Amino acid sequence: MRREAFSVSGAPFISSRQTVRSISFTIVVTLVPVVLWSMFLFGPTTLAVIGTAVASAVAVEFAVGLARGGSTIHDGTAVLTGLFVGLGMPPGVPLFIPALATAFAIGIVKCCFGGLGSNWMNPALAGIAFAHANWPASMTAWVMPRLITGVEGISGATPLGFVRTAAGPGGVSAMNALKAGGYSGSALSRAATGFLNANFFDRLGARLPDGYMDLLLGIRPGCIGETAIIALLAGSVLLLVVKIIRWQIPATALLVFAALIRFFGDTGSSPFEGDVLFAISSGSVVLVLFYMATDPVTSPVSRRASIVYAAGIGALMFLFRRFGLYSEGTAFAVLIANCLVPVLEEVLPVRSRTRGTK
Amino acid sequence: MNTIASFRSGGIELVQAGEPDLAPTKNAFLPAIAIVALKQHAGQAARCIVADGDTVKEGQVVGRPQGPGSSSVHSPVPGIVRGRATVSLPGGERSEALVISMEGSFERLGRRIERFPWRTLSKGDLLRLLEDKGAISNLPEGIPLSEKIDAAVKTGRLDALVLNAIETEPWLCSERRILADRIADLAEGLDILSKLLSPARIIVAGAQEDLRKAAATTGSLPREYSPVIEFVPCAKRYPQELPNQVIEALFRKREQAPRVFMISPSTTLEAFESVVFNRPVIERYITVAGESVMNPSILKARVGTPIGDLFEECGGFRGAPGTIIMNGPLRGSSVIDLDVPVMKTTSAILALAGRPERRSRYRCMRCGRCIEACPESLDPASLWKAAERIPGNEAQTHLADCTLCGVCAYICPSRLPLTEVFAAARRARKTGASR
Ligand code: SF4
Ligand code: SF4
Repeated sequence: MRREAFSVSGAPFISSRQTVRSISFTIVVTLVPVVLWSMFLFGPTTLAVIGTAVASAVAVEFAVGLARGGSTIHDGTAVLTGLFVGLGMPPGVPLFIPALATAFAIGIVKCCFGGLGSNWMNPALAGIAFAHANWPASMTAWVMPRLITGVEGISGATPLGFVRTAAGPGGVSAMNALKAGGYSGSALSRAATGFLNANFFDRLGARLPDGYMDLLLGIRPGCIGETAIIALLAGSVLLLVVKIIRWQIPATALLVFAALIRFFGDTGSSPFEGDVLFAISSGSVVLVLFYMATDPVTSPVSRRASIVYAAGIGALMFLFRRFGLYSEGTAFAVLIANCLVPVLEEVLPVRSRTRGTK
Repeated sequence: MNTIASFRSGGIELVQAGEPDLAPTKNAFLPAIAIVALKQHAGQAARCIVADGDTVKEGQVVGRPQGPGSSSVHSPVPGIVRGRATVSLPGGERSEALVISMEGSFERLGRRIERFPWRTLSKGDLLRLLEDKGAISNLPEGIPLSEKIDAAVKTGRLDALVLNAIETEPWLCSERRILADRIADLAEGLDILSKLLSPARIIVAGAQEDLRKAAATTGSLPREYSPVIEFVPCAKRYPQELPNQVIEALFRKREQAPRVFMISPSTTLEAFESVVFNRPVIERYITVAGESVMNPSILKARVGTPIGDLFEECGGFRGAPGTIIMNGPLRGSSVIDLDVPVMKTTSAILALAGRPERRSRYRCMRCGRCIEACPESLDPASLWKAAERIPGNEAQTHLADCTLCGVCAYICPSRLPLTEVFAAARRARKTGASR
């Protein structure tokens, strides 16, 4: 008789390829171009900021794992949270800020509420908000990309901040305000715009105005991760294709946000003159909607509830942008929506036969 | 035959990895030593009626049923009863088994067998034949066919007799093979069943390409053997073969569900052979496959053959296998060693390269994938939470609706052993209820 013994467990014996770990890893990979682009724009300081945040995240997660007995590093979510916090920082920020913000994100928001799966607030966004609340000056000390100034570390206002201070309630369109105020576009952008106009838009009888290319390419001051909109969009498409994120949340939020901007006007513009493209490309809207609002842990499980959740985020983003005092309203919009998730799940529960067994 | 029927919600698309290349079915070598478990069915183990040292003939009754859910067990080979052994059944239970060494002459093998003129038999006689020959329905696992028919007849008129030849689990192929090889016998088997059950319709559900061939063959059968059979092609999305999903596909509704008697090709074949050839169930079509098997094939193997023999016959292993599974990779059970014998409910043995994943390292992150994929529209994440918190509590009443299809555990990115926990909770509830 044969004596080989095989390990026995319950069915099923095969499983889908996606695991928490592979999902985290894939998201990190989609963000690599964003990081590289930001390094190109702002120099190696961005890498220091991101590196600090990731290292801090891993260290805190490890410490909590030790204290609790049972490491959770391997799922890769700590790395991801650190990366997100790093991306939400301005390029030249003092390094203690990303370190502390991430420690707060992981140590308090994630782990104190029971670890991955139980936290009801997106840890990365909470970390970013924490930094904004504690060090507002450092968190809004924006610098111009090297591409415009030729040197590192020249401070500048974000396009949004610029429009807010320069235009006032004057009723000029955001882009015109930028230009009238002498917000210099980059040579690269002018070249790219010219190329697109000559080869593409002209044939369609349209023209892409100067300036948007800068915004899409991130050649403007802003936090590290929000700058490379094109890279972010590419990454988001990839995540949508491999079904790591669902399209419903970003689509709904974008739609609501765009519609509100269109009808009620952006900051510094009058109603019905809102510049949607400017609104979407000039802040952290894309990063936050595709990468953070879609976090499975802090978004509703029920599909119906997630639509309301996303619409809420879109509306809050608009409110913060139109009337808010700070430009980083996107993080707060998602955090507030996170807090409403339990209520939404209660009102619009998952449609299943298991109802009432919670 | 052009629209493909499917179930409504949930399910997963599986890659049919390494499906046997459909080389012709081979007869496996007869086992030198057969290990015949006395419990090969849902109910109590059969009562052994032979003693050590007895000489038994091929197909001789060695165990008699004891109580409901129990069935006769026959010797698969002529030989001598050498003693008893304990075998671990797939799923963890243990059973006493007879060890029979093959010896002496075969009375059936290689001879022309008379066809029994069964049409003159009464329903009672037919049922008794099915019972005596130990036919077991593997849908659901392990109920004696005669009992299942009896229960169906008692509850009234049947809307349909459904031959369920759908197989969507990776590697599995035996039922589809039987449909391809034995359609004429299956048609006669269905004839026997419809005499017992008097269904309004007879439906064959399967993959489109399988049904095309089968329909062509049944069309040319002599009229007397072929009842009117409808062919309904069904989707290949897992778990299309489960009874609820078949009913959804065929009738589009579950509420006031039509009364259906569902049977697999292998069981239909058992009915056919029991009645027409007076042959007990001592042989099964076994798919031998998996990444670690050298030459995956479909074998006709005697019940009681140690599965190690079958793997050897298929060229042995390619590297050391990590997991050995009886039946499918989603609903089957892992076995502890290669001495486990082929049972009357076995249709596949698989050798997979990987060890079972250590599960439960992560926590549920409420991603909702399991909810979307559950074909029974349950919320596995909530069931899991309930099971985790208070094992065996009231919230698990919904577990009764869970078919243990394995879809939720398959899809879960946190790799939670959802189905395993549900199965354990169900067992706990059952034993609790019977106390
Ligand atoms: S095992 Fe049960 S809970 Fe999980 S998907 Fe299948 S039916 Fe749903
Ligand atoms: S698939 Fe797994 S992690 Fe996702 S909700 Fe279901 S149980 Fe939780």
